[in-house]
Amino acid sequence: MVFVIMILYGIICLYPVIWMGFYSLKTNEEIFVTNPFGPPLDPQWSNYVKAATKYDIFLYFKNSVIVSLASMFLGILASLMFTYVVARVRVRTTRFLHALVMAGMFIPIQAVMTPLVVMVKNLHLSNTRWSLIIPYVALSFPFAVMVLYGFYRSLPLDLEESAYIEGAGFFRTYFSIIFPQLKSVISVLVIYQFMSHWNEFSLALILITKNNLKTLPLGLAGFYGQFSTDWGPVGAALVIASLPVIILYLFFSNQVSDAMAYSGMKN
Amino acid sequence: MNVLFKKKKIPMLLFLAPVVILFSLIIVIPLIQSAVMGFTEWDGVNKAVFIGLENYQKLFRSRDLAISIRNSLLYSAILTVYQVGLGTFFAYAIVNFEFKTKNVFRNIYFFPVLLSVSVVAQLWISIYHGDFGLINQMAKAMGSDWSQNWLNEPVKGVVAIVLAEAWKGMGYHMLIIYAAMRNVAKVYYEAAYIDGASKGQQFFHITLPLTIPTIKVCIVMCITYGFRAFEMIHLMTAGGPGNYSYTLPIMMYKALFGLQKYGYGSAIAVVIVVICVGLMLAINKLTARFDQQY
Repeated sequence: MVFVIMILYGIICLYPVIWMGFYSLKTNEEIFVTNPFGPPLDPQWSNYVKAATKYDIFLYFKNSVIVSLASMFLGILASLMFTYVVARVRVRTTRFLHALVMAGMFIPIQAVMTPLVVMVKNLHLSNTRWSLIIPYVALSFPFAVMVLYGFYRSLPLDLEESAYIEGAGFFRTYFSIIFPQLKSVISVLVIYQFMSHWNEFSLALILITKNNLKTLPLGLAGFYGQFSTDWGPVGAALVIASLPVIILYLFFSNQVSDAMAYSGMKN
Repeated sequence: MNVLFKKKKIPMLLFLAPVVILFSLIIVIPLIQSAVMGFTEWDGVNKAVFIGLENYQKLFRSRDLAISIRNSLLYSAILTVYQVGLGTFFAYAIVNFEFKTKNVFRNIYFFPVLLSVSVVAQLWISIYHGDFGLINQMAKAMGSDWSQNWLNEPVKGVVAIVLAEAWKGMGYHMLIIYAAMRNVAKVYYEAAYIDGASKGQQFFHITLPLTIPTIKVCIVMCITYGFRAFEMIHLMTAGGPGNYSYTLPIMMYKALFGLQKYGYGSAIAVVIVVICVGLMLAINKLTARFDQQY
């Protein structure tokens, strides 16, 4: 009985996406009249050519890659350094800073939107990639700090002690002794942060207006709508946009699951 | 302070600086600005004028407010029942029943979480489409004449949007609950098995009490999400038809980008924050006694 329910819900999860894959290869006539549900009888690969040429899908793709990778890299680096100090030295200032960043977890994004729009304009960052990267980096801190804090606390102080006795400096100790210990937790962060930046929509919507800087979620939203009639090519564009995360998941499904499960501990 | 770090003040400040600067610049200062701007009238260009509580009065008199709150409550309720209810059910099934394909199920249920909100919105727009949508086509294939333009209906439209959102997010909550359930020590189940407890009894007397703190986190996320709901609505109906699918964030977006009312928009943002934080504290307070039971 439970098994039947599970299979039914599995179909509910997958069929819409498969249906989308099907219609990305059909003509409108086939989608609407002759064959709405099944696999395409006469695959229209031209839909993909059309999606790639008519819509700026590869431009958005490139923007998303740049913004996501840059935000991920800078966000993780900054969080690594900050959390190290906060976890190792627990005085009043660092405790306060730690609590402050963690409180950021509960702030809805809408609370900072308006001032961000104004700030980006005043700093002349409008329509540059930095106008997205900088907020993405800042917004990634609470989760990264939470995950890293627990991890740093579990590392023994002996690591630094012996390094300092041998005369290594602060930076050298950190980057050659501590940093290599963090591989597993960094891989969790890399996956989680990359995926959340890749799919982020709200901030991109309010901060980017120039077409040639749009990221994929924003760009996709531009060429469809309730009244779009070009189902085949739109479907093809959606499939192209989804491929990277699907491929990522096929290869790293366990790491992705771990990363997501981590985020459940945030309260 | 640990002696080890006594003489390392300057490098440590350098390590702290990037996060402190960026976090202040992007989160702390804008948060304060939002609170202050809520008391002003400002079009983003001319000088802001202090108008006291006028923005809040305007918001509480607005015709859109009641509908926004109703939609948010609908959103919270459906998300909680669907995502946490089904999420708990499937997590328990995957943890406790022995079959080879259990990881396949976990991956399939999680799959929609990965898709971008734009992709999911467009996919469900086509599913709900009035003429050629999947649902209407299926109804037709089964010989029924019953078809609807789902997203153009007052209440059904919002329900349709929430269901799409819940479909996308269920796997995420399932996975969080699954991770908590997997951590429940095997000995409890062994003891229960020896005592002859059924799977159902085991669920209510072992699994549920031990995972309730995690489930609570999911419930808080779902309930507060209803008041933050923006992306899916913006993409699927943009608040329409009329104001039938408005929520507070949609009102805020329209105030900022439709009407250039930065002060009014900020006042709405403040209300969103107050509601979300208030709900979170209230739920934690109300359910505190469950945490200490075990």
